[in-house]
Amino acid sequence: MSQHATKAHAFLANEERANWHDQSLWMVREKRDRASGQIPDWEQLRDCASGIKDHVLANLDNYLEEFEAHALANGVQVHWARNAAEHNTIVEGILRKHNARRVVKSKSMLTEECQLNEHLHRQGIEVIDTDLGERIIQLLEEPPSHIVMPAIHLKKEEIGELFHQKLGTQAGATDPKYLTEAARHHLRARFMESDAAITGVNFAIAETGGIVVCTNEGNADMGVHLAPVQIHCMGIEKIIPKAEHLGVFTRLLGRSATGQPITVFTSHFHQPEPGREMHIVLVDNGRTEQLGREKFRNSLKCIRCGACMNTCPIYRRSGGHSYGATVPGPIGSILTPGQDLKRYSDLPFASTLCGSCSDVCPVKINIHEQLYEWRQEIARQHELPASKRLSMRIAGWVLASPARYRFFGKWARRALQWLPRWMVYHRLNAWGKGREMPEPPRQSFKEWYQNEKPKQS
Amino acid sequence: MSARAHILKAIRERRPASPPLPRVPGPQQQGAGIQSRFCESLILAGAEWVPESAIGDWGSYLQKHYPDCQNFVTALPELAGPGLQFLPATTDARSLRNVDVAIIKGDWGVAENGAIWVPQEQLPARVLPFITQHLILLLPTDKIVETMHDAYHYIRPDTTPFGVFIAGPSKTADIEQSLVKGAQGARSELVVLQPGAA
Repeated sequence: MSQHATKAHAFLANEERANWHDQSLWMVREKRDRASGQIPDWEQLRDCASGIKDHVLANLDNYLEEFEAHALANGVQVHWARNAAEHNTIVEGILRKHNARRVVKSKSMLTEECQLNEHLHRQGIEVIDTDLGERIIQLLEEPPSHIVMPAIHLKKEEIGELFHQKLGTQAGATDPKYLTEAARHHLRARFMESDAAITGVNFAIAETGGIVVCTNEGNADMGVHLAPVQIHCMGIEKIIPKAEHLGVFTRLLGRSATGQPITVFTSHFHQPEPGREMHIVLVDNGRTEQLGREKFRNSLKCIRCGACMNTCPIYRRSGGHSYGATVPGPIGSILTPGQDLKRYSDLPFASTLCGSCSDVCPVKINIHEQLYEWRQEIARQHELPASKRLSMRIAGWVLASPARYRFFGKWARRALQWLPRWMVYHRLNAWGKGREMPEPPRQSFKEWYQNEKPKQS
Repeated sequence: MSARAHILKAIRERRPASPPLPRVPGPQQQGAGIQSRFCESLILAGAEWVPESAIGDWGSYLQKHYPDCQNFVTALPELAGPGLQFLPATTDARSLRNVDVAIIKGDWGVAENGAIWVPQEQLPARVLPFITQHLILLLPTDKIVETMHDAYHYIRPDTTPFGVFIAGPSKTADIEQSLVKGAQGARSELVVLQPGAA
C-alpha cells in the first residue's frame, strides 16, 4: 500500500473522529460558499486574479528586479536564496549578526518547507511559533495538518491536556476561550523578550517594494513591532505587479480561506522603523524548475488559502498528516511531485479527480487536471507501485483486443458469482478493501443489444 | 554566479509568453446606505460602533464602558483630558505593554468588510493597535468606500512606512473552530463614527 493510503487507513480506523474532521472542514467550505456568494462578480474576480498571476509568472524576472530596486530604495535589505539550505543560512546569518537567541515567528509555509525551525534549533536559536494553531502543534512536536488551520485535526481535550502540561492550565480544562487566554499570556511574554521576528509574506508589490502580511490573530504584527529586527521570508512567486492588485487578492483570500470578507489584519510593510533593520529573503527552492514545466507551472499561482483542502473528499477523510508534505491536500499533491517525484509519487493518486478543488480555487488553478497529468508523468518515469503497474498492464492487454475483452467479460461475470470470497477480496483488489464489488450483470451490453435488435425491425 | 543571477537566469530560460495584465475594477460611486452597510460589516467582524455624538465626555464614557481598565491613551491630543492620556510618538514599543484602551484615528473605512485603514501617521508606535487590550477607532463617515478596489484607489500604501487594515478585534478559531476574540491583539474594537465634512 502506498504511504498516503496506509496513513489514511490508520486515520479512518477511528470512524467517529474521521467524521468529525470531515464535518469541521466541510463547515469551513460552506462558509466559503456563503462569503463568495455575496459578491456578484466573484467569477470575474477569480478570472482577474488568475490573469494577474499568469502575467506575473511570464514576467517574474522583471518584477523581482523591480521589487528589489524599490525595496532597497525603501531601506530594506533584500537577500536571494536558491534553495532551503541557502535560505536557512541567510536567516541564521542575520540572527547571528544581531546576537538573536530568541525568535518569534508568525505563520510561514515557506519556512516550514525549508525546515527553518529545525535548522535554527540545531544552532541553539529558539524559535517560538506565535500563531495559536502553530504554537499548539509546535508544543506537540507535530507538523501542521492544514496550511490555514494547522491544528484542525486536534480535539480541545487534547489541547487542554497539552496546555495543562506545558503552560500550566487547569487539569481537564477544555474551554477554547480559557485555553486561548492562557496562550495569549504565554505568547505576550515571548513577544516582550524576543530578539527578532520572522514572518511569511502573502503579497509582495513590485511597484512599491513593500510586502503584505495577513493574519487574524495579530501575531505577525505583535512580533515584528516589538522586535529589534524583522525578517520576511517569501517564495519568489508571491510577487504582484501593482498595489491596486491587492484589491483583487484581499477580496479573494479571506473569503476563500475561512469565509471571512477579509482577514482581521492586513499589514503593509514598506520601511523599517528608524534605527531598526528589515530584511526580505526571496527563495526559489524548486520554483523556477516548476516554472519550466508547462503543464504544471500554474500551480505557482497558489495564494495558500486552503480552499482546495476544505472541499476535498479525500483530504477531509484522510487528514493533512497522511500526505507527509508541508502543503497537503490537492494543491500539495501537484506541488510536491515537482520537488521529489520518487518520494511523493503516491500523492497525485490521493484524489477522486472530482474537480471540486479547481472549482473553488480563487486563482483558477486546474488542480484536478494537473493531478491526472502527474499520474501519467509518474507512469512514464516508472514510479508506479508494482500492483498498479501489473493491473494496468493486464487491463491494457485485455482492452486492446475486442475478442479478449469479450472473453474476459463473460468469464468475470460468471466467476464473480461462484468464486469464493477470499479469491475476490484480497491484497490485489484495492477496490474491494472498503466496499463490496458491484453485483455482476447477467449479460453484457452487447449481448443485450443482440437480443433486442430483432424486435426493433 | 550569485544566487540572484542564478534565479533570474533560470526564470528567463523558462518563462512562458506573456499574456496582458488584466484590468482591475475601477472605483464605484458610493451608493446610498453605504454607512449602514459598513456598520453591518463591523458587527459581522465582531466590532461595535457608536456615533461620536453618543460619547459626550471621553473621560466619563471610558470609565463607564471599560470599568476594569485603568490605562487609557490616545494619539489625538484634542481628546486628552482627565483619565485619558495623550500618547506622543515613541520608539519604545515595549513600554506600551500595559495600555488598556487606545484611541486612534482611521483614514478610510471599507463597507464590504468593515476594514479600516490606519497608516503609521496615525500611530504613536506601530504596535499600539495590536498591543492595547481594547481598541477605539475614530472614522469620519465621508471616508467610507464600497470595496477593497475603491480603498486601494485612494490609498497608496507606499506613501507610509507601515499601514494596516483592521477589521474587528484579534480573533482565532484554532481550537476546534470555536471563534474566540482576543487572540494576541486587541480583545475588542469600538468604531466611533464622526460626521464627515459637509
